[in-house]
Amino acid sequence: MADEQNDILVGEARVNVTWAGSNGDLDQPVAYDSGDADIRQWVTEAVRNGTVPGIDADDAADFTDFVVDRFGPTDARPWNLIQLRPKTPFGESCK
Amino acid sequence: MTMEAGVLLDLHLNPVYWHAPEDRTMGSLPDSRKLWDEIWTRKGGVAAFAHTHPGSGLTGPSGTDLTTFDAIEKALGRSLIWLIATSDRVVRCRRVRVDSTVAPPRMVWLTEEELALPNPSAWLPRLRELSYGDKNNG
Repeated sequence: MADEQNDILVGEARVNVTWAGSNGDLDQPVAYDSGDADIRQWVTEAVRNGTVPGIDADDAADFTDFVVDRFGPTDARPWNLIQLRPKTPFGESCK
Repeated sequence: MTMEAGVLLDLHLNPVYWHAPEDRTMGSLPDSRKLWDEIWTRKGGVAAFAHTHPGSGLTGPSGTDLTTFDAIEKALGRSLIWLIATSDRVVRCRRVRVDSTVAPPRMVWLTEEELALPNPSAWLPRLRELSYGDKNNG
């Protein structure tokens, strides 16, 4: 059954991405259990092609070091959400 | 016991978020959605992120540090000041353009000792305290 407002089916997810200081959603939902590599590829193509509302097209878009986070539905957001955001670990260096 | 820690600094280099997650270790800060949320929420109001490395003396960024710097700057669409502190020194990492007559320009990370940072008393003692304990908080 689709969410009436968002047309996102159970088992699907909205994909949200942050790039170059802007944030937007892919225009089509994806399967919630899609692999991380597939999600990175779809987002990369969408940002490079300029099809993500709110994010300017960028030929150099590269999400290699971005993390795929997945969130189930909530009362406030009754659909699955996948977010692509930069990784944030830090590690010790050799001197 | 030494544990890595970090701090997010605003445009006046005042601390706005102390980053000392429970799963940090002596040599690493784990990936943290919370840290990214703190950065993204403030966006233009964030100028720098400082984190610690174990020990004393000059240090340099790890490979993990550099790819994290790069990913966060790509998401923000702008540069940040990246600082790394040991118990007695601080270095600053920044990206610089390298021009060549035989290859296209490229960006590389340059690390230099930071000796003239404004307002260090606002965050450096506390950051060292979070990392090294009370004995190394100067």
